[in-house]
Amino acid sequence: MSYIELRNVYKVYGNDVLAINNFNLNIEKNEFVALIGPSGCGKSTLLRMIAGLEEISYGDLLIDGKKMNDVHAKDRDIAMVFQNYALYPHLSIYDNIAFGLKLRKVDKKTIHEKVTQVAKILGLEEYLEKKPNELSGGQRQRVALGRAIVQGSNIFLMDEPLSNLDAKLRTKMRVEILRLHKQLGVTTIYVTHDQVEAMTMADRIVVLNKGVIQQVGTPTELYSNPANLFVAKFIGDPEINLINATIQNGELIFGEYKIPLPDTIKSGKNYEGKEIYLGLRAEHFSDDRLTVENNPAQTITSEIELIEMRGDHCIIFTNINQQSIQLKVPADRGYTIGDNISFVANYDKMFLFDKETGARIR
Amino acid sequence: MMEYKNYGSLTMDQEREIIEKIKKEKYKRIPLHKKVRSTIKHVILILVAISMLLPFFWMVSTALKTNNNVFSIPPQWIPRPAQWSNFLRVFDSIPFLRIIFNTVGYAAAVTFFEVVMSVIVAYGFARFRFKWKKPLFLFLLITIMIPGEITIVPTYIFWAKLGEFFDTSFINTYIPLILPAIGGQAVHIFFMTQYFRTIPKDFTEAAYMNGANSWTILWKVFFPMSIPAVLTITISSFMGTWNAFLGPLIYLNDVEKFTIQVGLAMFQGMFNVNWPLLMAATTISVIPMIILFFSFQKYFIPSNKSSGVK
Repeated sequence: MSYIELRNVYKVYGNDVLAINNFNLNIEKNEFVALIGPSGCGKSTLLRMIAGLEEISYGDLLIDGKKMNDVHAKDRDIAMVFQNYALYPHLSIYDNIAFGLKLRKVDKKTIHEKVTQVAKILGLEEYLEKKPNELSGGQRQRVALGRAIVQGSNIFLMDEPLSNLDAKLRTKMRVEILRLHKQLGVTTIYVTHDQVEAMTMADRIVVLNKGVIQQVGTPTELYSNPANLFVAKFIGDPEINLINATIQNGELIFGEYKIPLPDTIKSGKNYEGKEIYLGLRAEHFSDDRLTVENNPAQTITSEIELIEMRGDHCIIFTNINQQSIQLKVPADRGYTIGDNISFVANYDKMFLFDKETGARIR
Repeated sequence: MMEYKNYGSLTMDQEREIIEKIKKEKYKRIPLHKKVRSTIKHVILILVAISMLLPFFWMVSTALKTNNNVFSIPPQWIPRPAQWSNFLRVFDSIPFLRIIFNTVGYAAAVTFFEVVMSVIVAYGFARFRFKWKKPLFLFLLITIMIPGEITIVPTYIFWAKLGEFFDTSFINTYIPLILPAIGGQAVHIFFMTQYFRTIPKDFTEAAYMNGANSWTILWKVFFPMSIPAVLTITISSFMGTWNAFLGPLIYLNDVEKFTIQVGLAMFQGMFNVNWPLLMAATTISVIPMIILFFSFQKYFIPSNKSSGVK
């Protein structure tokens, strides 16, 4: 039995909007699970259903083996961090953190102890008397975390908690949240639309699209073994390169290039003569001179359209057969826009997707 | 402009120097016609300000005159000698102290009910879903559009009959003046509803998850977060009641029960008006308004400080 279980969960809004479609997931104790997907995919709805802010239309939510569908939010042993922090502007940081405890009629001494302790963990001791508007974005975010921690709940729900922060602070808070998670060992469900956040923080990632689970897995699984086109496109930066290709006589043909079809696909569905997507990630190409010289037949040469500098490496925008692709090459290559680049693709790593269904063929 | 070859951060003095320079440059570049236009603007504003302040000045000045030199020509701007005794005579000629107390009590009661009830009703409109919500809100808005003068006769008859029904009389009491405030005030309800609607849902939900019910959320979250709006309607209610004339005039008969505005009217006879006393009494009656206005002025300017949310 898992700590949190979602069994055949559905959410219907009004008469005709199916926001969540047959959602099944087991979450273990102390696990950090990220829910990701594009906006409107239902990830926030799901989180709110777990929190008790939305009714579950059909299906069961179990926490520690007990059915929670009709249990009031305050009795679910859950603390939530909101995207907008929802700090009360009229209350001091101390009172903001203590708000929930006061509502639960905890005695003053205990409140003081707990708030002081939480402030210490988060490094907020010197700000306790201040008002939220005197704090920076990162500090406010920490207060919001403090408000969740102080309740001593066993489950944290976080709804895009970092999306209001600037890039640098986001990276910093990411580490801080992870550190807290390790320290407190609280089961965490984290909603985000940012795949980088999910990849760097989560033990497991749930990819959602239009209310349906696309894939559940560790960050590595999702990256190197995506279940379908949607996951492949959603995970990874830069986005995976997709090249239109056709299968003919056991060969994969795109434009003037032909490669032998991998064995794994031949046994599968018959795609003879059909158009499919050939998926290759930016790092699955090599412009290394030796590699290129050793594979003259496989070498592709095209013009560089754009170069995006990333520090130790750069992303080259070029094309294969009039389809734009992005390659990741070391930064010291000295290319300029308009140059020709010769490269070889590592076809062992390629993914093939059904163009209509998005299903992974290989 | 000077060049700074310093690529690190500048010292405070260097920064100030740059700012000063830019300011000077900026002023130099303002074309003449813009400077002229700005001067004309200021002259107009000063004239408008004078036209607003002049009646006040005239009021105080008249309050210090004798009955004979009120309309003397040329007008006496600063009366000599100043008749300070006019202010005392106000209290002798009518029970003005009693009238002030009446008005304070009346205004406080009405303000309290109007504010509390408007906040509660507005919370309902802003945060709950219920049947007929839109038509009800529309109906509320319609009541704002009916001038009070139209309803005054039927309302009077209503209170008179209601008194008969209960074997008593509500005329010459404060009941018809205060009791309706328990329904709130339509304009305030509208105003607070709009204000409450701007408070993000996250605040409600955060409190809800901590176990707060709607009533607690209203008084512990919404109310304190809306202090500027609440103060605005409080002042508006208080001023409205303090300056109310028609209602108290119609329902109250005894001088001992009068409010300030009715009391002021006592200085205006059918054929003659005691201008100095009327102006002295008026001066006294506007003092609380002026104090109120200046002490809460900063709240009229809506603050964007609700930064719990970014």
